[in-house]
This record gives sequence, structure tokens and C-alpha cells, in this order.
Amino acid sequence: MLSKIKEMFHTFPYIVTGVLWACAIFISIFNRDGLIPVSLLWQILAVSFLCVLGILIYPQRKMTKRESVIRRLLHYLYINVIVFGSARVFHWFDEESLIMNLFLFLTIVAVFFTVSYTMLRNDRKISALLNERLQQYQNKI
Amino acid sequence: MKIIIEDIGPEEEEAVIIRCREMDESILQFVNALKLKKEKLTVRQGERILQIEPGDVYYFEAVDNKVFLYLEKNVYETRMKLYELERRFSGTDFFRVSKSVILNLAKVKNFTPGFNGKFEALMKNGERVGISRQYVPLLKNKLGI
Repeated sequence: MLSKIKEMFHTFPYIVTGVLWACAIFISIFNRDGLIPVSLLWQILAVSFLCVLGILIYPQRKMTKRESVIRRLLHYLYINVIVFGSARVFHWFDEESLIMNLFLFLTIVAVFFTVSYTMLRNDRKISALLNERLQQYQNKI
Repeated sequence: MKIIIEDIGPEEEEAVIIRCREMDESILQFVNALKLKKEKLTVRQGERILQIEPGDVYYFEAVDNKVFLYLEKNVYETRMKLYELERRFSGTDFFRVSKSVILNLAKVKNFTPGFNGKFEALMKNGERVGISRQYVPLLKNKLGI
């Protein structure tokens, strides 16, 4: 469980950044002249926190490729439920508006894949460094 | 560095003496490699009890309170606990990469990022072993990063 909590702490800033970008774009398009309430900042943090809990979908043990794809899909659906649910609870948008619904849907896709890609890219850099040093380590043996 | 090898009589005990100004990393690795060669692991495979060279082990894994050794092709069980193995092989090529796995860095082909922020070690026999994120800083440290 401790490693999961650490993983959540690691992922949380990425999600907050993604949600902040999404909010900035959403507000700029649909509510250009509106005032932003302080409560929105807390809502961003709350939604990010709920989204980061999605990490719990992944088990600690090794997964097969098929299982990891299914869990990733479930993770994505969970994020959709959280974001659309929060949008409803916090009255972020007009539920009747098809454009707003579509925009929110596309925003989730964009944030989900951007966060995943950014984290994967960082991990690739770490892997490359580890592999370089592993070579040196094994040559020394 | 000079290397001196002396012939000794059959009644004398074999010994390795290292004369150095300070114990640097390469000397420590040499000492650990000697330690690994000297020690044997007692393992079980069904009714059979065998002696295994630690250097042949790819990784140790704890599964349901049992600890298994994975060699290139074979899997054996040992009575030792994972923390005992970790202690016994500290400072050698064996390194803990998750709560349940200690792997032999000499048998790792490469590291790759896995799904959900985990890393994987691709072993030289083609097996993949998961690495918990929390052990990555320690691994970096071990590899001198």
C-alpha cells in the first residue's frame, strides 16, 4: 500500500497540471468574461485527487498485456465518471449543451493521454540512463 | 596494480590478501564476487536437495510465504526468507527491486518502463521481472547515478 501512496504522490502533480490546462482552455472558450470563484481551485485539487485514486485499479503483481489493457480501459472509464460526475455536482457546464459535453469528453482524452505519455517519456529517459550504467556495471564485473 | 599468485602446499589454507590504500568500489566488487563464488545455496526440488552457485541465480521471488530461485531454465525452492537472502548477499550483484523480488544485476539484459509507472527488468533468459517505483532511486544509487 505504501508504494501505491508513493505512486499517487508521484502522479498527482501531472494530473493537477493537466486539469489546470483543461480548465484554462474550457473557461477561455465558454466563459471568457466570467469571474473564477476561489472554490474552483479546490474543485481542481479535489477532482485531481479523485482521478489519482484510479491508480488503485492496477495491482502490485505482474500483469499480462491483455490484463493491463483492460485495466487501463477501466482506468479511463473511471476518470470519465469522476470528471463528468464532478462537472455535474459543481455545475461546471450546461449539461444540455452538446458542444460542452463533447469538449469535456475530448479534454479528458487529451489530459489522460498527455499525462500517460509524459510519464512514459520520463520513465524512458530513466530506463536509458539505467541501461547505460548497467552496461558499465556489468563490464566492471 | 600488481597481481601476485603464490603456490602453496596441500596442507596450507588458501587465502586472498588485498593490499590497498583504500577500499574503492572495484575492490569491493572483487571481494563480493569472491564471496559469491565461495558460498553455495541449498535448495529443494521436490524430494531432491541440491547445492546451487549463487552467481547462477537470475532472481529470488517470494510467493505465498515460499521463496523460489529462478535459474536460466529451472526453478528451485529455498527455506531461506527473502530478507535473509537480502542480508546474505548485500553488497553483491543481488539487489531488491520489489517487496517480493531480489534480482541478480549481472543477469539483467536491460530495463524498460512498464505500464502504470512501474519498470521492468528483461533478464538474459528472456523473462521479465517487475521493479517497484520506490526501489528505482536505490537502483540508481547502486548503479552510481
